[in-house]
Amino acid sequence: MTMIHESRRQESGMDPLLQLENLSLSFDTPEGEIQAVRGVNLTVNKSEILAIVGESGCGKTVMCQSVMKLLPANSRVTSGKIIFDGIDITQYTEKQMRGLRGTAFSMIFQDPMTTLNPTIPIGKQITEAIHQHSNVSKDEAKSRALELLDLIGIQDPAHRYDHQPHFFSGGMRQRCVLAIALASNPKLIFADEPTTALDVTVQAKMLKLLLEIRDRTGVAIVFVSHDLGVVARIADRVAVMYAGKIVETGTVEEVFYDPRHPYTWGLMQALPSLAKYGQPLKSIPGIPPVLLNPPKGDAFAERNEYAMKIDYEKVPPMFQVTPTHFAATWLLDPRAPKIPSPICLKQESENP
Amino acid sequence: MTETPVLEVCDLVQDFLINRHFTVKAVSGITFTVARGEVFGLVGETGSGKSTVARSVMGVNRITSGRIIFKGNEISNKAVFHLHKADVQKNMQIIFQDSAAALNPHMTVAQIIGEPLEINRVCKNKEELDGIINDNLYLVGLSEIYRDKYPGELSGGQRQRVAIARSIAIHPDLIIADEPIGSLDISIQAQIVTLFQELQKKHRFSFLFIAHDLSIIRFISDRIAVMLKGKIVEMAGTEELFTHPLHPYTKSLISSVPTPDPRYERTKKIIEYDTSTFTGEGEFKEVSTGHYLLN
Repeated sequence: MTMIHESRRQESGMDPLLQLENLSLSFDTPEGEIQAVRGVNLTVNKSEILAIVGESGCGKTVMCQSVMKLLPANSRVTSGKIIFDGIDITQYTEKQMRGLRGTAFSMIFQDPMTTLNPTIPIGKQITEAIHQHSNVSKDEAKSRALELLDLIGIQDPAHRYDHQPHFFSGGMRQRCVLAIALASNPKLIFADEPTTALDVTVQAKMLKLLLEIRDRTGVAIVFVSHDLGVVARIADRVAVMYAGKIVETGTVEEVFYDPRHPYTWGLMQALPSLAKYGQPLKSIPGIPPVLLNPPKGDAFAERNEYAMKIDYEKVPPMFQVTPTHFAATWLLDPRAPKIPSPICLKQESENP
Repeated sequence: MTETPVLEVCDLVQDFLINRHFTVKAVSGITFTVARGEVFGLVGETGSGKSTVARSVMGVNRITSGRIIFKGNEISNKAVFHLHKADVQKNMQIIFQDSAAALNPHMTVAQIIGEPLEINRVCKNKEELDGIINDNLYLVGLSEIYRDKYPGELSGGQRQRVAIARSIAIHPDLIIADEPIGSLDISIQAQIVTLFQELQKKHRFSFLFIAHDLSIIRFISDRIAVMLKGKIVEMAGTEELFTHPLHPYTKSLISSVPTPDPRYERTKKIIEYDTSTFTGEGEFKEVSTGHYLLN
């Protein structure tokens, strides 16, 4: 396991690892074309944790899976590029992708039990992943697997190596999935709601572990979640996704302390921990649109209490707030009325 | 102010006999009361016995020992239960986590909501029944157009609303909500929680609200009990519990809840508590007014 120190991480801080350029992806269904991802521009830097937040059905998972090309046959990239480590992999064949999966990027899913084979001991499942990607002897693979089990915080790895998944608790299983994902030293891990199924105390430990792993191995993580609390804890940068588009992106502090998009406001107002005692929770009315026929203009307009006429007519561009903070809402246009953000987190942080 | 509590649970023990050698002790002696119009939150980790408590109170499980008293009648006693059967079955309702499994896929929304009303003979004629069904659909934020839809045609949030409408339609005294919002999206969670609060204010239902999400429990409950391995380790009023947690497990639980505030999140200290050291021994007693602790 190579140790990457804090200084080196900062040096490589702005080094892009994965770039999505105007990526659009559609599913062909009997009902018509569903535009699941619509012109996404996104950069993931080396050793960075990027969180993608949004409601279900916003295209978060589809976007991650499109990079790994894990989508069913009725999906197709309709425009744009996927650039990984400087190489355009948009048109890669299945055979070429196999070389990348595991070594370049791997994925962790929400439910560890569907990832793990219930009949095979944990240790063997990890060595299997190691053998798949590197030409090492059995003993080498085993010692590497033990090293990984130790890294992810499993006590007495030599003993636990021969245990099947059902001997492990939910949190421990998710750690084992992480070990498999780390087996071939990937540069990027897609973590799709990895802590949603876990208890809060176990979740806190898992998040701590992910941060430690990032610091020790320098792996970049794309963290898909709908829990803003978890995102506040783990992410360096945040991208808010709605109806297949990124509507706001910035560093975690910018997005949490100075959110600009009404959708981000809505997500935050829906959190019970931010609500004042005795006051009702505010929720975003309605549900995300079905992307069979995406609405003209801003897809969020219908649910947006601040929607203006232009929102129904023209798709807002990405307005720049700071060099790292962007939001796609007409409210940032100089001609728009100034609406103060309905959330104020700063006061909250002064008296926690 | 000595109104009879809606629900009293005394020393409830629930064991499940797996085989001759092995018994699962799901709930081992817990005591709590739910007053009229109160929202009582039950929180704990997976496998702590929260849902078992709900099912035992509902009478799904035959309890091993202890007493369950509903509106002053000891319903865990078979004879007493039969005497008050109609009352209990009308006035105690449950909402489950998985609404897809809780609703019959072959029944329309109107049939689902109407069934308990018909069984309990609440309505005199069909017009009155239809009226109540429509009223309740509006109450949970759905409209008449949903009447003839099947659960499979609804989204998760809408299905959960139908399940709620079914439970509140006959105006029960106690609603047991077992993780009612666990499987929903954040914005829909907020809608359902708000709905619960409005209904609770309007009709003064008592709630036994079970969840693992502390932030929701804190928001909605008047009093909270924290469960661990089949025991209640701490029970207090919501503000008291969050400002002065006493049990190390409660402290660990509260400190683990992620807050959407990056600076605070990164500097806060998470208290760890090794639950394997918890034996469940000790006495459950009042340390200050209304604040109980297992020590």
